[in-house]
Amino acid sequence: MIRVEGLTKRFGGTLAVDDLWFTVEPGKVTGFLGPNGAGKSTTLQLMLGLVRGGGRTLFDGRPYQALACPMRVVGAVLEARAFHPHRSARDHLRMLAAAARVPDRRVDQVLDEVGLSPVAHRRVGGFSLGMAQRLGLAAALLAEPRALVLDEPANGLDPHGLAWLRTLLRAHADNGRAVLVSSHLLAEMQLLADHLLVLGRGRLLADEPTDQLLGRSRRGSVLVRSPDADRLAELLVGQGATVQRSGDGELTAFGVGTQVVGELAHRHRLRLHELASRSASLEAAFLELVGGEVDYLQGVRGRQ
Amino acid sequence: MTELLAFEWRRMRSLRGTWVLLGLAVGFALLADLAVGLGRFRGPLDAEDLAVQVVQRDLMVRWLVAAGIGAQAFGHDFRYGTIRPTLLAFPRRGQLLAGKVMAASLVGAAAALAASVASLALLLGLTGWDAGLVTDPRLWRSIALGVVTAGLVAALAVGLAALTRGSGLAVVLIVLWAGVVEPLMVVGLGGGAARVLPFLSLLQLTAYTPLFQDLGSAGPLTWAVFPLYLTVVLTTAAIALARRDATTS
Repeated sequence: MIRVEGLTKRFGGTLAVDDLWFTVEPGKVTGFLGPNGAGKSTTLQLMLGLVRGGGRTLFDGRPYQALACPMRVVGAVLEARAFHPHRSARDHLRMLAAAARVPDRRVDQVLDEVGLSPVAHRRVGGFSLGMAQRLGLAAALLAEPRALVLDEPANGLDPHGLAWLRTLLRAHADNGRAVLVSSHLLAEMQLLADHLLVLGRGRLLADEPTDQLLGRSRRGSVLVRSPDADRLAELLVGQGATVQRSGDGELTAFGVGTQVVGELAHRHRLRLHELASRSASLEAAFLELVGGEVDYLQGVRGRQ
Repeated sequence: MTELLAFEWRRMRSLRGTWVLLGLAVGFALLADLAVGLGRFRGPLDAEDLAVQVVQRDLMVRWLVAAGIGAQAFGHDFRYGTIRPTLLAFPRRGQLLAGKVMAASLVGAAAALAASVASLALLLGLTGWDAGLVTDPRLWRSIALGVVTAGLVAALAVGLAALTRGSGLAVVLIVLWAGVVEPLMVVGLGGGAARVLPFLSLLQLTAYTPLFQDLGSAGPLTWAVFPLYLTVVLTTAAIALARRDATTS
């Protein structure tokens, strides 16, 4: 388990991370979201002691610097291309294996696991972004850590790579490990994350299960097809819902659930041909949540 | 510390630059032996000639090689952004500095030893093997101190690279200080200035006969000067490493 307690970081007069408190539970994939400049990467670096600031982070009850063999407790990837370009992928991992007291045969295993065995002897300077991401993940997985902390691991991955990453992280969480992943790919996070932390201007805006965050969104809707659509629409508006007519006998109702629509139709003996809940997309929920907590918004800030 | 030394050894071993530097130390010694030695020493050598040829002649090159090896220890981490993975593997920064100093010093010293042994063997071979020369303890003292000083210069370069967050500036600082500033200070202030100058004190230590006659043989102060400078640089580097964020610039 990872416990974050009061993390704070200032860069000059700017408060980049503002008194963050949260927990990353084992057995779950926790998504870490926020607009550009929200402080996600700084928070991850603070957690791992790479930048100095206030507060503390405990990994299985101990600060990162106090761990006897940190790579066995936390596997982290904070940058895609943190390699010496003239070193081979295998040599890069063998070097880290020495640091983690891991036998060299594990290097070959992990190269195989991330699909880099065919290029293990190639210099990493020639790797694509996707290959570099895979090598970073190989380094994080090398010592079979109990937690993973990954900053934008999906950047540069093709659709196959994204599916592979999703399966890999899910498997780690299902094995009881804690997985913390920051990403800009909201659709990907909606598929992957069990729990979400949303950051805006260094402050924690949400810390809740993905389903709960999506459920709270005003963008959730109910799709109804009925030959009595006009009458049903009147009744739904009377219940406080917002209704959109979107075709022959088709309605989209916002602000009510399927249960309310179903019971209303039953009470007034209206026929329903289709009744379906459409949950909000994470993108919609995210945009609602971060609202004004954005530093770099096109056309709003920075205009003279 | 064992893991840190193993990590550093693999880091150095997997870079072409390390082997180029080691090759430079040995290659320069052998080429200089062939170019200079063949012309000058057609007859037998005495122990002092041998010490000068095997140690003192190439000492600056060996220090340069050692400085390169030491500077790469942190310089590459900052240049290529590997400082973060390195700190994730070894988050205790003081320990990381100590490990890098130890590893770079050992490899820097090994480069100097390899160059000295190769040079000694070639010179003896070229000038007719006189086994009596190699029994002179002052020759071996010179060789041993040449090796130790290379290790010390590598350690200094590690500290300077940690402070400057780059290899190039660390090596340039050492070259400028040892090759320009100190000779100019001696020219301006006289040989006595060598007492307190770090690189000249190292030269004085390794010399078969004293370089500066007015200073006499190497005394306790000569032994203390470079380690004192080294301690100041490494302490400052340790404080800077501990206080700075792990960024590459």
